[in-house]
Amino acid sequence: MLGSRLILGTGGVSSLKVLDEILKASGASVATVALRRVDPAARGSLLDVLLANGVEVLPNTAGCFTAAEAVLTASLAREAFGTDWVKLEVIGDEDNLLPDPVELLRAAEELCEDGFQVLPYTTDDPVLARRLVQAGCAAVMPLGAPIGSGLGIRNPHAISMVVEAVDVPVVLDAGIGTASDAALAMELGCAAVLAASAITRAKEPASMARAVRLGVQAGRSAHLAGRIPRRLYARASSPTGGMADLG
Amino acid sequence: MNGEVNELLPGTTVADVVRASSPSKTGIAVARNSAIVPRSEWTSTPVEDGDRIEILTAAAGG
Repeated sequence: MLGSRLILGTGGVSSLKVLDEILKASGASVATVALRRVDPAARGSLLDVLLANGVEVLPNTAGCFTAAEAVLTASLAREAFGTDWVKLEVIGDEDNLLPDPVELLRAAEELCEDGFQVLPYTTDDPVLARRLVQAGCAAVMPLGAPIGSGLGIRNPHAISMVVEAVDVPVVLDAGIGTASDAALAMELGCAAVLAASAITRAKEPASMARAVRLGVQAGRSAHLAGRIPRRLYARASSPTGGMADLG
Repeated sequence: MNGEVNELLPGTTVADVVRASSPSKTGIAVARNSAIVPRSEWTSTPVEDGDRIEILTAAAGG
């Protein structure tokens, strides 16, 4: 499904024109959408812009607080968009928008059983990530920081542990504030990054889309290249032998 | 319908209310009293007095 390692979250986009620009600049091949009541006054269709850019639609269950709501929303999204893929969100708190782990796992089990390809938005907890994969999830999407906060990856160590804990792709979701955050996610071994607000609410959304895309590419290359180990003291990079006696 | 009270003619179907509320038929899902009405059943599903109909589509979302 992933032609690009940057998934675009469309939340917060100011217009369909801007959406078109950031889709092109981001190079994303997958973009998320929410399911909401039709607006009879709406001009233009979000879906048409996504399809015109050849982007796969990844519906989410944003706004759901129980497993039952999320399962019904996912099923409606499958009906509307003809896809089995769902970014499963089951929120436990209105202020921090953190996932409710119990309801999330319950919904994931039910949707996997029903043939969905489930990508759960989850905490950065490797134990929960493993349970979600055992339930049959196709990927896990741990948060770097609360949705829309732009705080970056608050606990890189936890994200590394999630990457080690599961044998499915890990997609860093939520918390990205700028390109370097996306690079860090990829350096930690994430398979992809989802960015929404970081791009859609930037002063120049298309420029930020390009920057985050490059950050993802840079981080992926660095991850594959293998970084040097961290050490406490200096290790000279110039030869220590052959020094002139200049004293 | 979508949180508002609507007066409908007898015999109105889900297909009728979808047509009236959305210019597009693609990318739409319908729930009637919190149960999905599959597209294939829109024309054969009547809207009855007191039904809660939700007509949903894609919106920008993270």
